[in-house]
Amino acid sequence: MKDKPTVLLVEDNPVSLKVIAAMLAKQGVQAATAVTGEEAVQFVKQTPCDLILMDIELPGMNGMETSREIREWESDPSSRPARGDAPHAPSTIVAMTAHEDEENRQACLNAGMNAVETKPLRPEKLKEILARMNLTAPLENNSVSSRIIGLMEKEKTSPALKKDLKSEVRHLMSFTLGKEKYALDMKYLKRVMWAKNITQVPGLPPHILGIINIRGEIISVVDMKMLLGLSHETAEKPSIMITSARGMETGLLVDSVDAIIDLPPLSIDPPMITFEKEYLDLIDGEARLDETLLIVLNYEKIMQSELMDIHKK
Amino acid sequence: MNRPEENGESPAQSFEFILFKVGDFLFGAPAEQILRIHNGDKITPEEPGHTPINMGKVFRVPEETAIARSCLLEVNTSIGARFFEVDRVEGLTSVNLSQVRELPPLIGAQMANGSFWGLALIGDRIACLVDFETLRMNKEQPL
Repeated sequence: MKDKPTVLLVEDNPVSLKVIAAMLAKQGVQAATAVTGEEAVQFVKQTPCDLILMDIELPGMNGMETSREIREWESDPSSRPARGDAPHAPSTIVAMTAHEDEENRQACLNAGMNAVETKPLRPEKLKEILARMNLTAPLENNSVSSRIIGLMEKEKTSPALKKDLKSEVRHLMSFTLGKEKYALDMKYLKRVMWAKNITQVPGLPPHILGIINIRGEIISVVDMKMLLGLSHETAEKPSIMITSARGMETGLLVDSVDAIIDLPPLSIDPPMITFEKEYLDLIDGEARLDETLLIVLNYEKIMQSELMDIHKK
Repeated sequence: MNRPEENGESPAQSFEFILFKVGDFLFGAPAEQILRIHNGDKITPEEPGHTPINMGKVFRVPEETAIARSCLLEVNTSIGARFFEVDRVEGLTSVNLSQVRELPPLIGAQMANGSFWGLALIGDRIACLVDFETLRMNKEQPL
């Protein structure tokens, strides 16, 4: 077994890249990655590789062209290491292709590749390739991947640990208020319904709209725009998000309910937008989603705020 | 709130309620509390000095939603008859115990002075159940 094998994974599909990298990590191999042929050639020129797993259908320079260029560089005397250093052995290039026909296989071999494997690459096949090349390494206990894999194994038997792993991502439901996007943790959301048949109750503050009757259960409805001090323009077809915490259900009136979003907590920054202090306390932070700013609210703080006055009684 | 099936009471146990409106809001009160209903444009309470309590004002009902505050409920309170001014009496209805609900916590917290003690589900409508005794004590005090 080699001490630290250098494996380069060339794949433009981000999902495939992630899956194969995880499969390699499970075999104790940390792979470098490239998403284009150009990147791959550049990497090989700087770091000779033991194994290159090469996708054939790459944008720009395809896998065969990339392999040819790598072979040309390896055979170029000027690419050899300085005098006295051991020469690099040529990389083993394994093609990953969706085309199983003989013509394609031959074309790959002619381009300088050593073997051709059909996509999707199966774990057992990858293990076989690594074993054949004597590249399989035991898991390093201190590597992140090993730790994650270890945790995943333990997760099967430990519900508490399962919870820890899941908590690394925040599951949010996004919704619209006016022109802005907001989100709440999914765990508080029970259902979403069209806003209709809201019964007004006299003597309530403006942000508490009234009550709705859902199959005999009476639920208070809070107007989120009024609660957050936003301009109050009624949407054409608003929705009510029925939420629940500590046995108390509350309907939140919003313009529309949009999508489930999973965000790592680290991607949620402290709020930069201007809010009055009383509202700022209700906000966990904000996250950028492409061109959209998502304001993440803290449901517990909202329900415990003076605006709700639940503890007044 | 205990449901009939939980406390052993008959599901058929029902109570008579007077339903009345103030603005867009529907209210209910036990019929046994109501001594008399006075309809008319100008009503003078029988006991001078007992100014009717304007329910629209108590509950901050917008004036523009008032139908015509032309109805007086004469209510039996712990200190005798008192008058409550409402827009319109809708009538008498039987309310089964299973139709009565507590105020949701969020609403109950806002009604900390106890003017409402519950809700009655009447068809697709919901009536706020009024406590006249508490209203009398908080006379003319906005909620």
